[in-house]
Amino acid sequence: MKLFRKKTVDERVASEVNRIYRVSYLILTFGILIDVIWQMATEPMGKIVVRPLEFATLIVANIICVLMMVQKGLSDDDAYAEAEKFPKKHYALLGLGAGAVAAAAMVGIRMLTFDWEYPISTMVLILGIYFFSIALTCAIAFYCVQYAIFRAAKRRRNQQLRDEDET
Amino acid sequence: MKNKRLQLARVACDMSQAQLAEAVGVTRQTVGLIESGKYNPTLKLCLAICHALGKTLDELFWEESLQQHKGVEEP
Repeated sequence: MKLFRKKTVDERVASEVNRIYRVSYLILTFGILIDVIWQMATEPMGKIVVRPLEFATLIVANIICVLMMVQKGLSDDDAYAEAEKFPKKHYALLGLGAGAVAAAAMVGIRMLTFDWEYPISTMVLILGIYFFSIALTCAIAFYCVQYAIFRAAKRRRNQQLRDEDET
Repeated sequence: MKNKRLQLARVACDMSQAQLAEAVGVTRQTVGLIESGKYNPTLKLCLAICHALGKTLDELFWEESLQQHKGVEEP
């Protein structure tokens, strides 16, 4: 039975390992995300083909992370983790930044894989519309998801406070 | 900043870093890093160290304010 006894983990080691896992998580997530974007962008416009298992793993892993954070009453991993008011400007800027990066990546891949059969002005117009539509969609989606997470985390924190008051 | 009081208290108890580490459930490296001031332990670990060495938190971990360190009177 001694074999299965839970070993105490050194808090410094745990904190160092957590930091390392965080880096690995970010690399893995961005790697899979770029692969998903690559798959989408190399298909004809309007047609979305992704590897379902890979895409599902990415979504499920991130949903589980978010649920675990919300369970602890956290809405982010930065200074706004336990903010009382939704930091609109912060998330609007982050959303726009993320949207612009995602759109730039998709447009970049499109440019590499395009059949340049139309005049350059038409191509620029198509890619411009493509860029702005993706950037805006991503920004709005990011903002809405972050707001939903913020509300859920705040509700959870309030519930924890009520539970503490009752005991 | 080095924690010499912790080191002195440990030596006074005739304990090695490894023995103190074993007593509080951390690695020897962690104790070494705390003594050399390169790692800030949690309050939980500070308390465990205090209990193991029979000292109080003040005796081992309290740091005088910066002004007092520099010999300047606080307002």
